[in-house]
Amino acid sequence: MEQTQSFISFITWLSNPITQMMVAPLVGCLVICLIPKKQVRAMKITALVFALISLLFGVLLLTGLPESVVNWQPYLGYDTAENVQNLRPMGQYERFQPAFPGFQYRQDLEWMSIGIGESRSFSVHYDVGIDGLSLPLVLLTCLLLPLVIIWGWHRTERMKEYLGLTLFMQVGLIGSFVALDYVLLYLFWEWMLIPMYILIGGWAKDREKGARAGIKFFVYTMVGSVFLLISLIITKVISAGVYTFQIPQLAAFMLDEGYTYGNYGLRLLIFIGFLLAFAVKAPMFPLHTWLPPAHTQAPAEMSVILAAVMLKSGTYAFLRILYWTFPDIGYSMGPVLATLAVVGIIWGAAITLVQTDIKRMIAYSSISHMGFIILGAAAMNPLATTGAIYHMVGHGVIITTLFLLADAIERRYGTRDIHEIIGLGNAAPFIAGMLALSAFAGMGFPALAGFWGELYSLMGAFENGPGWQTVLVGSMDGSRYLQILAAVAVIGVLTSAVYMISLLQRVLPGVAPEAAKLKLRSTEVIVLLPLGALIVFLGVYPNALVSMTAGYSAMLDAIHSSGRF
Amino acid sequence: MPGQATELLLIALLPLLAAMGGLLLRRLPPLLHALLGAGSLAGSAVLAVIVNSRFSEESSRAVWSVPWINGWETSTRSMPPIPLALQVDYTQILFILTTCLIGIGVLLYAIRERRDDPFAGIFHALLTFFCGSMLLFLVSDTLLLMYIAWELMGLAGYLLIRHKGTPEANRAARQAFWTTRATDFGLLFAIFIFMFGFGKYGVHMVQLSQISIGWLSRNVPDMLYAVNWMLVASILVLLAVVGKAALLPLSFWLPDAMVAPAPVSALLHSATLVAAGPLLVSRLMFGVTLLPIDSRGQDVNWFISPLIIALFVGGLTMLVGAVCAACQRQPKRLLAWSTVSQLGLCILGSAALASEAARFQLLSHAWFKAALFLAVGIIVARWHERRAAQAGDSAHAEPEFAQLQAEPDAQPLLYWLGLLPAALSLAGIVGLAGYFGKDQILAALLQRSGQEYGNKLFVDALPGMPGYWQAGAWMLLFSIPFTAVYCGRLLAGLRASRSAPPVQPTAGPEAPAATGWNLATTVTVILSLVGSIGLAIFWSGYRQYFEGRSNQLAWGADFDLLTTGLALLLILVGGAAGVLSMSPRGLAAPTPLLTGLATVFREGLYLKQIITGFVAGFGEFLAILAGIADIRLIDWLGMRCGSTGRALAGTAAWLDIHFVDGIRWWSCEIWWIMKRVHGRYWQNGQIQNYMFILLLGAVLLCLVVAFPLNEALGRILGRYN
Repeated sequence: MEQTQSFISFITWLSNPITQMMVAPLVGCLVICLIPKKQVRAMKITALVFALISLLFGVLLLTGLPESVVNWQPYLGYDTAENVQNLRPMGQYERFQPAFPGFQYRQDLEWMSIGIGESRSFSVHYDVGIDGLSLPLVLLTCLLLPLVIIWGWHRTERMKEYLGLTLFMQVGLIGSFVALDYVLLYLFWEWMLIPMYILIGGWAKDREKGARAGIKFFVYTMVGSVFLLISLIITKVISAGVYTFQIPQLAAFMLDEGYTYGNYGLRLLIFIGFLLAFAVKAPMFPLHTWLPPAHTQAPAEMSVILAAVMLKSGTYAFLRILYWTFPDIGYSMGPVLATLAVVGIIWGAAITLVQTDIKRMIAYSSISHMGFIILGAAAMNPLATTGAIYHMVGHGVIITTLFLLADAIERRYGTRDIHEIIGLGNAAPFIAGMLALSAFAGMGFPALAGFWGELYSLMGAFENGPGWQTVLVGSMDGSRYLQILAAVAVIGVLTSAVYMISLLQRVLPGVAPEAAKLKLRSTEVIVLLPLGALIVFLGVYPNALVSMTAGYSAMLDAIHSSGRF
Repeated sequence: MPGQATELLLIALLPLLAAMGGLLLRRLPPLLHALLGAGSLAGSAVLAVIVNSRFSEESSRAVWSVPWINGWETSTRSMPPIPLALQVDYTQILFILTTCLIGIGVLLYAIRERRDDPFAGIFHALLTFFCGSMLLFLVSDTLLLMYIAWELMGLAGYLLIRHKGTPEANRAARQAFWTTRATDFGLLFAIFIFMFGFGKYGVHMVQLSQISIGWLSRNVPDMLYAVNWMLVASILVLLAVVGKAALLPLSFWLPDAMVAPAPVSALLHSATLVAAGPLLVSRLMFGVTLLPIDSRGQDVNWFISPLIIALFVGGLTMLVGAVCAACQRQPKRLLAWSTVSQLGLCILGSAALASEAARFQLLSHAWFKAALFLAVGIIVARWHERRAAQAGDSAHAEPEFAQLQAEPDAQPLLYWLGLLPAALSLAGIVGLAGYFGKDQILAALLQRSGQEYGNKLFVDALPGMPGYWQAGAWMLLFSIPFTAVYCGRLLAGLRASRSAPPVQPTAGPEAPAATGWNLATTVTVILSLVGSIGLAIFWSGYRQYFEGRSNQLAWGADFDLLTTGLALLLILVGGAAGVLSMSPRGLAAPTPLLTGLATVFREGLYLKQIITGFVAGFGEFLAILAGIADIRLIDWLGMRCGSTGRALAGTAAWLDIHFVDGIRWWSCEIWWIMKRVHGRYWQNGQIQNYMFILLLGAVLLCLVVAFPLNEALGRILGRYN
């Protein structure tokens, strides 16, 4: 009897597409551990296959399977009130429904419960689900992992550890986007940290500097995580009557009773704790200095994952937790956040102007771009959050292309100093063309991927909404303050045009040294072409992402216009 | 509502697709690239004619629209879906045709011009892209789409200006791109205001007929607030126009862009990029600025009325541009400043509420300015090629008038049919195309500055407006002779001066390098004739079409004796002065004051140095400061937190060892004391000493432990007893 129970729950657990998406890389990681050390090629193929399987599950979330195939999947639902309320049976490959204001493919299993006698004290759930906020990011993660594995196809050094850790990290990355339980979120949040730390330090060109940068990254992020832990514990403790750590339940409690009876000062402290955790990860303006060294020292693939996915987990949690659980404090802290975001935009852009190392330049530009995402998140209305989500994906794709191109350039010239790189257009026309494309996308040029995110963020900050009119900044109306901030943020976009054009004009023309004229690798084409296509696609067809976020926006707006605060 | 006109989509899409194909198929011979581009533009032109032929009395618009961006709706707010909408009316058809035909001409011209260029194919594809993005701008109705097209034009301009790849070309391209992109955000924010303040997503919705005072009072609860936003929006639109059309404080990028090859200049200055500026004014801002015509407008603070700003920016640009052009020594820079001046005139026309006349001026300007650029391009290119053939000198420095005069080019057809009509039309000789638009603008300015006219419409709301219009009229009158001066200089400077030695008959036939310009010359002549005579013939039809249906308040007579005569007199005097200034005597004897003034104006009042110096210097200073502060301050603070923590941890570790882990410490210390004391003094081997110590110990034990213990025990026991 006991055995049957656990078997069924294992099947139950595994029947969910999200779980399958996370389990695939884990299995891949185990398989790689079993392959003998000398079979490097087999390990690479294995890693690629499992990353692609994960991508396949990700795409299935979006597209669903045909009806006839759906029927073989047994329904082994775990019925909770929440599940019934959300109307969404789990474990079936249906199409993602963008307009649905709730979580889809949700799986809510009790993981462990600590109780004294009959009355349970609390329980931790394995609770995962996706909505319009997390699906784009999950898809981005699943797409980038195979690409970086292909990009590193020429690597030979300690491949077993490298590939194993990469796949292991993917689990944490996806998990942090789909977890709906605070403890689970914290688990995945730390899960992705450790492989990343090892990968930054262990595969850096300069081991000593790499180790130092890795430690800096690790310590900064760990300090943030501590605040996350403290805040989540206090959130749970003050929510009398909620026996789980689930984010929706706690958010509902906070919205209903927390606001009415809760202590404003305490909740402000919780908010700030969460904020610190997410701001370090994002990174927000005064907490950003761990990023440039980490990017500069890390191998290109890990820079990609760090910039394109890991930073986004900070802003994702911003949108997922803060404005869902503490909307009123969101409004009162909003001007501070938006100001810091705009300062970050301009600060990052200004520093990018004077950098000479390409990777450092891209790192600072990404600080500037993350400012737009934070600005969109801080403005707290459907337009702005759509902009934030769009820019998370768009910036993810652009920054990936830029980092990989920096790697390709470094391979040819042996340096990343832009004063020593000339004649790229002559030496490698394909690389130069991609660099031009992604640089223009990076400056937010219309009809490319960077445009809509910045546009929606600025529009959202400009339009703001009724909640902002009650906020006072000094003697100024909060809504007017945000509009001014949006206008000031334009300086950042403009500066991005300056540094990107300067980069192009410095690097592309001229006569290249003979040593730089290397043959184009096939992996370079295989990886860069889809990224370029994606940059253009996201630029000309904004609906692809804008419509996906409709349900999330509606949910957020319903909370914010509920009139409860 | 007319049905879907799919032709509109194709008008913009054909050249863009052709350009994309051209960029992908780089290996094709350049001739095919040029023909592909020209063919696609011809297709667009034919489609435009087809669309036009469907216009009727009741409906003179063609519309095409598909869903583009989803809207959303929540309990409190909603955003309607934004369609991808295209829409044209009669004026836009005219500009579409102009863009297509000039584009075809320029592409045919570029075949010869770029004969020795290894990247000629890409060049032709980019020219096509340039025209295509302008066509997209012209047909777009959705504001966001229009913004995209507006930016694409900037991109195409950037790529074409830097085509030569020299450092100057790169610098000029950068400057042009940054200046225009910086000001484009004005348009973007104006679009935000239209979208969120007023819920307008299309150009036609923003135009005068749609947003009126009545509409505002019905739809916007806070009327004064709305009018103020409208003012902000129109000032922002004006900002975008100032950058794109190179109006006064930011006009420096246009003359510098002259390093680009002649076809690029011809397109840039006539039918694309800069022409988009005045067009945007007439499409968006004109309707907006008319808003205050209402008794309720009295309350609004009109000091910053965009109409006045447009009037003065346009007028001053026109005047200063003309003076600057008259002081130039190089033909291409002269033409560039002349473009600046003419665009100022168009803006002034819009501000004079003579939008139709301003548009006609823009239209004719496109044709004759393209012709002038191409003609100058041929002359300069032949000059270069002759020099290269003679002296092996392949430097591409821009020649000055004096150099060109020294080795004059004998091409009577190009001079008399290409250069002359276009230049006369530019000067505004009565009866040529350039005359009518300017004349109507002047007439409008004079009319509106009259007292009764002002009273009727504006005095209530804008007490000073007639006076401003009068100032505009004066500026226009002053700029007329200067325009004639530079036209005269151009004509005289490109001709053999009488006293110059005749062309040495070179041994044998003309060098082969400088031949093959026949097609280019033909194109130039056609453009020039259309821009001077053809459009002059067309004028009466244009005026007739708009007289009934435009917003223009009143039209002046075409040939009013006073204005026409006065203008003709001014033109003749100015032209004579210009021609004389190019004669040897005129060149020989300038006064120092005049030379100094001419230098200041030749450099464009040093605005470029001032503005770029300030922006670049200040920006770079701040950037360096931020770069230092990021490492020295912010990172330092972060690391300081780390080292403070480390110091605290060190303290804790010391405390841990010495106090928390005290047993070890104390035991060590006691052991040390015991060893010292015991070893040195007490362990000396004498029995009596040991006995003494034992006794002492027993006494101490009794004193310290036993008695108190006994006492305590006694008390406790006693209590229980």
